[in-house]
Amino acid sequence: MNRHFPRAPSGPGLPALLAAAALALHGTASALPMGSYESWMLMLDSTPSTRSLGLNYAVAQTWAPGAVLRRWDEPAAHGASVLRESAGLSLTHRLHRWNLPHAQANLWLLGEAGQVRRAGGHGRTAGDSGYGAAAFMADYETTRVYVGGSLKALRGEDRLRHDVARFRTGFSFWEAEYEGIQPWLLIEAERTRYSPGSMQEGSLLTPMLRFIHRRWFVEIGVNRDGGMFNLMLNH
Amino acid sequence: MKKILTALALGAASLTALAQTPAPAAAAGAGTVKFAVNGMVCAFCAQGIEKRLTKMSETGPLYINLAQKVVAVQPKPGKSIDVAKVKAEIIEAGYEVTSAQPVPQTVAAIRAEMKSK
Repeated sequence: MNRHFPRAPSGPGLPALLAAAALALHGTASALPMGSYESWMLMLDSTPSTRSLGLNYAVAQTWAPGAVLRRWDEPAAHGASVLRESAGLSLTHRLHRWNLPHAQANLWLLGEAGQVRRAGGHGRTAGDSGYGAAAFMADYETTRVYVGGSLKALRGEDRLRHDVARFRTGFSFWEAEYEGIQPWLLIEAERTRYSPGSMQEGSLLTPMLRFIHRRWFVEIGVNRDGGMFNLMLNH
Repeated sequence: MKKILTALALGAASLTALAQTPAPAAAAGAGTVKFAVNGMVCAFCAQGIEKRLTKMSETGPLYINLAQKVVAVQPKPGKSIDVAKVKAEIIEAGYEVTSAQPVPQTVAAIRAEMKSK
């Protein structure tokens, strides 16, 4: 395979301790990146620059392998952008959970590895390369308050490099019944660094509404780039 | 004399009848068990508890109250709740059980009582 750029020193074999865009480079720092033991979790994420679809299955209380498809526009030098598509296998691990009388806190590790494709000029594919990613997430939640954060990094061939730090906090308007719909208001602060050739950095603030109804989890938000939508289904 | 004997006979008959009246039946409990559970803070997370408990053959109506940290489980007719098994399922779902208490009410009554508070 011909390559236009020299190989990046890091490749898909990176340790899983690195942070990653396991759920999408503009994905969610949700309180629950996996379901309970023997349950499926479907995740859809959409922003003006990113679309992702992920699915995992909890084979144990704290482990959920899965798969992720992603497509995103990545800012490049001189105002240009690079379109990338990826397909990878993911692994979510709950490091620890604290079940408190009125709260729950979690620590998570997520890993991902697969193939990424960079569109060339005029939408033509410029070739596939491998990538690896990892994320560390933490969250604390009560029936009315949520605080969460994540550090994610993705590395790949073709000088692919993304680092994302995300912090999210918010509150629920009321304490809902288990069977009821619970609305939340949250704000997310995100700092992203890309390096598809030259370093690009960006920050984003996104206020959003979150609705939870039993196994459904929906977030709708808006920032300077446009609208965002996130859907999770736990079965 | 006849009147006295008649009164005594009637009295004896009454006492006998009273002695044969069965005592009122004891109130029947529903067999419901209330579990106090730590870590239940949102329905999206806690619905894993409902999923696991509804799969059990003996569990009937179920009530989860996030604010009160309660999971109430009523058995199906003719069955009883195995506290240890239900506790294990809640733990498998990722939560902590701090207590389990049998209660006489049905899940419907517990739901109505908690909603009225």
